Amino acid sequence: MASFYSCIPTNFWSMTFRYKHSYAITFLQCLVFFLYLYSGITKTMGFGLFVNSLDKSLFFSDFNTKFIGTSVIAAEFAIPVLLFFESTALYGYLLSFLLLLLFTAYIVLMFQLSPFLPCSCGGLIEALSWRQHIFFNLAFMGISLLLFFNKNKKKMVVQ
Amino acid sequence: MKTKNGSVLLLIGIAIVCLITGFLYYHFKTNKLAEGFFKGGGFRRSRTAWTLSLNKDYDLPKGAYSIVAYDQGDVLFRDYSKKEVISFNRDYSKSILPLPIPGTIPVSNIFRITGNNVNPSLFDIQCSNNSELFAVDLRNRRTAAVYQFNRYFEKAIRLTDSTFACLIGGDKQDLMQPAIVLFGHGRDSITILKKSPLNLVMMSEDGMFVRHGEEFIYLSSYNHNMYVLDSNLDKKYLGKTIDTITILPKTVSLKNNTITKFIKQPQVVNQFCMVVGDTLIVNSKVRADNDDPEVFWKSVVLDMYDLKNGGKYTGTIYTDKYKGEELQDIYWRNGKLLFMYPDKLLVYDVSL
Repeated sequence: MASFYSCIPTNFWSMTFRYKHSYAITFLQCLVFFLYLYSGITKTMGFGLFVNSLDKSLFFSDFNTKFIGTSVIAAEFAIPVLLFFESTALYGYLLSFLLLLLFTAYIVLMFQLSPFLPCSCGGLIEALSWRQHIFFNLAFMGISLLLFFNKNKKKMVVQ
Repeated sequence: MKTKNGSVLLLIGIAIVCLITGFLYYHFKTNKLAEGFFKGGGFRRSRTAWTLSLNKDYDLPKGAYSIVAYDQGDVLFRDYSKKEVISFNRDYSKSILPLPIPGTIPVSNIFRITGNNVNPSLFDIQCSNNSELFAVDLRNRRTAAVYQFNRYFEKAIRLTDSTFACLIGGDKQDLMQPAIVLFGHGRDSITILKKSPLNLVMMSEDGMFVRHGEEFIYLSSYNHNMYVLDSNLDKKYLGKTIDTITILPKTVSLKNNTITKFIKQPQVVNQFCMVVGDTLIVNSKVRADNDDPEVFWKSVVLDMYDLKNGGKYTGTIYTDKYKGEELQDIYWRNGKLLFMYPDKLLVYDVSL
């Protein structure tokens, strides 16, 4: 009598794993996509407040904070656009990781050096404590890096 | 090949981020504004023996509020989103009793509502843009008196039934001067009894004006200046809060000097202040060298200055922020310290 398991294609388990793996990747992609879309929209809607909080930062004294604010928003909107297309998604993940790395470095600098803590993140993210903020950024940096290497590997396989 | 490209891009990106971070660090350490903030070489705080213990708490719908008065458990506060002052009932049921502001008062111009220290049943409603001050019985919706200034005024402190200490528009544009004014009947029957030689630049030197017995204190919001004036409004001494911040935010005039605005949004140094006996309590927003960042950013920090001893710093009270939210107002009355948050009012007992 043939075993029940013999009816199952030999690559079932690896396929199932792959599907699960694929769902997980899609879920993480969506997280990164919506994080930047949400962050960009909240910063744009509260652009005045965003620039005000940059003005208050001693790290940006003598700088054109409107330009810095616009650049950050542009970068945040660029990420979902890059992620939207298969051919540019790799650069989207890279930009996401680097932007979060920069934000985290800035938060750590501000936390350690500045006598004030003006937060410019906007929306729900602004409600996080500074420690939570750093962990939140580290988590998304990890996700972005994972997706970046995953994408990079796929490109290599295709080639 | 592609893997290599991706990794190279990643390394280049990390190098760029490191460069930007290094540049920000260098800029912070060398720029004049940051130097101005720490001209005194930084400062250190010490904890005071004062302790706070929670007495009552009231839930509120999330909003913007300021405390108007507190008397024997009856808290009155202003809801900025509505045309009313709100009272919690005296029976401690924590139910809310709205007290609508009389329709004759232009709500959008209200600068501040304070308890009337001459007649406790009245409230003083200051409408600075209209140059009017209304003495109102909110429980009966009755306007007891209207005081009409003939120039811009703000931060009025009632001294008697017909005199106020306040800041009035100075002789030069963009300057404010502390003054004591006497009211007769009608808009032009105002007499300036005393005018301080102290000239304060509008916006840049914005601050808080409070009374301590016969003295008046003007505390700057954006730097460490604490002007203590005598009963004639002459400068008695210039005290300093401990933060060592000397710089003033810069402003720019637009549209033929009709609009003045900050070039850059300034950071508030001293947010609130109040006088408790002979102590000036200041809610500071500046972290000291010895403040643990993790504790400081989660705390309401109240620095205390001895007004009998030249405004000398005596210590600091630290208390946890409610849910990490920013304070909207603080108020002191009869041994109780009130903290207003966006959705909570906390009443503390203070003990030495």
